Amino acid sequence: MCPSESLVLDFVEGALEGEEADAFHQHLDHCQSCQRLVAEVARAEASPEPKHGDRLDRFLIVGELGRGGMGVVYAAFDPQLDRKVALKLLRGDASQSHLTSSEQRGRLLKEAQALARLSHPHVVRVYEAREVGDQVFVVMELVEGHTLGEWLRERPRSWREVLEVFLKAGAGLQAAHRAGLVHRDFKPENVLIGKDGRVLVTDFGLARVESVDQTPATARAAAAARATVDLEGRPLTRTGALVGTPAFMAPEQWEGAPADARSDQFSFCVALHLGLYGFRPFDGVHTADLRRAVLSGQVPPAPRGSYVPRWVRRSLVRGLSVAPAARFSSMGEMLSALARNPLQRYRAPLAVAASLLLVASGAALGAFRANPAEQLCKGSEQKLAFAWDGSRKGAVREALLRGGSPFAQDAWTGVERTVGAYAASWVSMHRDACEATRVRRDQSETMLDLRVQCLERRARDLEALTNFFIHGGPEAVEGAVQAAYALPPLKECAEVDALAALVKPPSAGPQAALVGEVDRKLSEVRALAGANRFEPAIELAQGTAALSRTVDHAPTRAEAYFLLGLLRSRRGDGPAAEEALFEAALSAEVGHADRLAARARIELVIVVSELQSRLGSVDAAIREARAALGRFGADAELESRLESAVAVALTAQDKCEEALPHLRSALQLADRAYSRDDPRRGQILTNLGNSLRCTGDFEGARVRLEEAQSLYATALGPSHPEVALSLHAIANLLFTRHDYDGALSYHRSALQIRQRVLGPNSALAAQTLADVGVDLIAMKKNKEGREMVRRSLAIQEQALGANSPKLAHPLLVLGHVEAELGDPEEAVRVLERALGLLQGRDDDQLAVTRFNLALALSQVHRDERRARELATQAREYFSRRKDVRRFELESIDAFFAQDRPL
Amino acid sequence: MPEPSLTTWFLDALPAGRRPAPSDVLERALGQAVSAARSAHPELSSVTDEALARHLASCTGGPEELETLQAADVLLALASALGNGIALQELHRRIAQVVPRAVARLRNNSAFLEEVRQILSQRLLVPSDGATARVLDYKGKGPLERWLRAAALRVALNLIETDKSPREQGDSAIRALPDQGGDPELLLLRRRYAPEFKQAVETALRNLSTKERNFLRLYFVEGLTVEQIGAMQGTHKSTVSRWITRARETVGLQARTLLGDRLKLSAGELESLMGLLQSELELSLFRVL
Repeated sequence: MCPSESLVLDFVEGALEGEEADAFHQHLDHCQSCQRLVAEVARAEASPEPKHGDRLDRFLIVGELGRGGMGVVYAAFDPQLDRKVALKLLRGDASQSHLTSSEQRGRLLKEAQALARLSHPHVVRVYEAREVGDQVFVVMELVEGHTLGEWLRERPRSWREVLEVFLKAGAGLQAAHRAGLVHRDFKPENVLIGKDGRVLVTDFGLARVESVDQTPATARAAAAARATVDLEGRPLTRTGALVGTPAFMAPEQWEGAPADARSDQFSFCVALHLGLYGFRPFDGVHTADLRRAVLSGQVPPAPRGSYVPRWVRRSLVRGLSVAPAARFSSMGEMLSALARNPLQRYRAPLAVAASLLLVASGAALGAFRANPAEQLCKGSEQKLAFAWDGSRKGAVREALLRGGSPFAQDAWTGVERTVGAYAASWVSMHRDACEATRVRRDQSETMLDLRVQCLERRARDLEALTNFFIHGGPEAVEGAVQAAYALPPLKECAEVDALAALVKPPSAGPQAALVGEVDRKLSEVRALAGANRFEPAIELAQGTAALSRTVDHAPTRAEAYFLLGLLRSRRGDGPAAEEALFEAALSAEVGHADRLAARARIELVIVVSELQSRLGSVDAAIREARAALGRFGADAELESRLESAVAVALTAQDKCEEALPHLRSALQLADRAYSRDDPRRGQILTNLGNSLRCTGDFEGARVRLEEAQSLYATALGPSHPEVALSLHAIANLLFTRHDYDGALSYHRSALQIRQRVLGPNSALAAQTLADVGVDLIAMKKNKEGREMVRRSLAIQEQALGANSPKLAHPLLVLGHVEAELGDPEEAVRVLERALGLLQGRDDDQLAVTRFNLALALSQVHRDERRARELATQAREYFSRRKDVRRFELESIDAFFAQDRPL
Repeated sequence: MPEPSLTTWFLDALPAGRRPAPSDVLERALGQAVSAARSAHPELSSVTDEALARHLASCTGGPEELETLQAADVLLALASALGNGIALQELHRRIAQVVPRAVARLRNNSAFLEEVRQILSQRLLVPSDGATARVLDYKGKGPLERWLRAAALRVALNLIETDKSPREQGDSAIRALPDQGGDPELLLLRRRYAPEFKQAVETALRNLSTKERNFLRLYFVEGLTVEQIGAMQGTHKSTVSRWITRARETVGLQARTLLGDRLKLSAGELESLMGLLQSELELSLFRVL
């Protein structure tokens, strides 16, 4: 009979003496179980757990947060860095012999250090891993909040809510997988939702270290356990990381095979199923039943009346495949399948920004409340810190440079300068607003509130923009500088009269919250739009505009519709843009948002002028815009925009001559409104150059275009795509003037930029290559030119596919040069192919191709009837546009004038 | 017939030979213990003073021990054994709290922890063969949690033991062998002489005292530190360390002599064999102990 627990405790304590001790030793000598028990009890007694106030290494224990298989988690304070942290004490695996324990600790440390290198918005940050004595512990970010499991149980959630949270958690998993880390125990209890709304995956990868002992045999032994178990391991608190929690384990984990990223995918889908439908796909009273269910791969049908969309369910079921190979090849692939809904796809990255926004604005408000009045004029910088401070700046820099884009450095330089200036002026305006009321006492409290609120909105815009930089991925780089310049001007926040006139937003209640919500979303829309990310921007803008209809605050509604209209207009959706802008203008007028009303009216001019069917109303639109601007007062920026708009309207009517004075005055006004390097000035210069070219003033055009090009190079960096575009404009201008040498040299510069930035095999660089070829051909260097065009064609075929209509251009050039080089047969072959690619089109290119083919056919005297037919079709097209296509028309007439047999 | 008091119940419960004389000191110590227990658990009033006093007698001998007794936890254990619902609930709560803390490092698995929890509850509360519930084995020395921890560890270790198939048990020593890097000469020697070597170590170990053998086991097999072993012996860790070194040397020397006798090797041959097998000694200790 083995000694009682009390005796064992006494023995371990050294409290047994004499006969009792001897008897105990006698028993121990023959009883292996008691030897182990004595050892385990001794170990347990020797490592008393830290309590409140204890010190562990440099950390001060504040309290216990939870415990689980992995060990205990404490809240602690790090006096060195003056922050609260979570300490996770990892237990070594005592079932292994001591021979491996130091080795095991080493592995724990290594794993934790790998985690510490992983930094992702959806992964709990691991700061460091430390070893004190034989104790390994991990220092982590302290997340206050609750687990995803608790969140799901709290109240019923819509599938959208659930999916949104899971997509974020999934992004965390994905990031870890990319870093070569596998979670191995993903479940709702291992996802934390912070009080600030952040979604973070925790207990990464550590599971494996502990599970070395988890051989198939022991896994099966556990599976055979008689007991009914809490399969979700729920009582083990938020940090409870049981290795391979049975309810979420993938089939291969049940089989004892090593877990990989695809096992995480499976666990993710089990959790998602639970989240979406309220129950797990596989269940069993006993672990053995559960195991059978998992291995059977039978996913139960969706419950009746479930709203979960089919694409979500399809992806989910695929992730639950028994064979890892049948699942998605990566987490990323699955996440994009889950987010396939166009709205969701774009909301996924944005949602991050949205939740951050929520936190940040909350924090900012808190800061205002917490500050006594006299402190208000100090620390304006801190008020902006959530949007732009040293650390955000660092994060933006890192994010922009990370992708290794060739103009990343330029993008960063431009962003730093532009945003830096914006932030500086924000801070000084904030201070000024405060001092006006508190120090100079020449401004009312109400006005102070209005100005501060206005500035807060701009700060949120800035925050949305920096979030976009940080989370926008590589695509964020290209539009970065323009996006920074596109930040809404701050001066509105100093325009006291306009602010005072504005209809006040509801100050409390659900309506106030709604206004806040719309405001935040609009900040995101601005960030996306500023960076030319029109597709996601328009998705979000549409939803926001719809939401704003429920808001009882006209200026907010106006803002939402204005942005929507602007975006629709940029995308060329004229009628829809007109509708939205009209709504914006009316709402703005109702809400006394005069500046916004004027802006909406100005954009309407552009939109209406582009809707050719309604030419008559352009004049009316211009009159309305002028009137709106008149109500608002002198504003160089808006006046400049109006002048540009009028010019655009006139150019659309081919009235280049009349457009010129408007563009000149737009430029003058822009010189007052913008800094000299502002890319928006570049746009006016380009427009001016194009209009000058249109009037035949090539020299003037060239000066303006070169000015634009050098402005872009300064503002955006010499390698920016916009610079390549302006080089093209100049080259094309020179080409029209038969200055082929000049055109060639500009095209070559553009080619260099594009090849460097986009790679030599990009379609866009290849298009420039074709232009270089055209220049050479024009210089009668036919063979050299043909070589360029052929290379361009080959690259574009590779990049775009053999049936892309884009191939028509190089084919057309090739047809022309083959004919020139005396091979009309080849020319016919090439041009026929070009014609085939342009099926169904009705544009310049089709007409030119038809005419060229007609020429080539008649040259080989093959099918004169078809040649005439093609020429006739081309003539018909050009005669419709005879005012601008006179040259082509005359060429065709000359073709017909030649006496040729039918 | 004296007025029934805590002392009379207490003394009555003790076997005749161990009864101390009734005294004020005893009455006072009993009174303090009982009121400490009562104020900690006013809800356990279904347990009478008499039952508590009688149970306290089984926990301790005299007034001195009564003073350090965890009376509140003793009352809880007693009330649970008597089937008090509130006490049972509290005991289950404590078991559920203790088990993962105590056992998780043996095996990280919710099914396992749950099984330990259930078996432990059953073992402590369901009396077997007409005996009392085992929770009454808790005698109030140290907090109840500490005792529960030891009990949980025992359950867990037994479970792990029964889980292992015979094959696995046989394999465990082999799996524990570190990879020796495949030195062919050593591999050959090991294969040829391993049984003899093992036997020699076994014999040498038998010549140690029980205590020496136990501590050597705890050190080499169970991986306790000299500090932990020192605590059991009430000695300093350096003493334990010296002592283990000596015991190991003794075993090594004896094994060597035995091996020389059995294999009829010359001194030189034995020397080189021992040199090669030196690293094996610790391993053999591990396997043999």
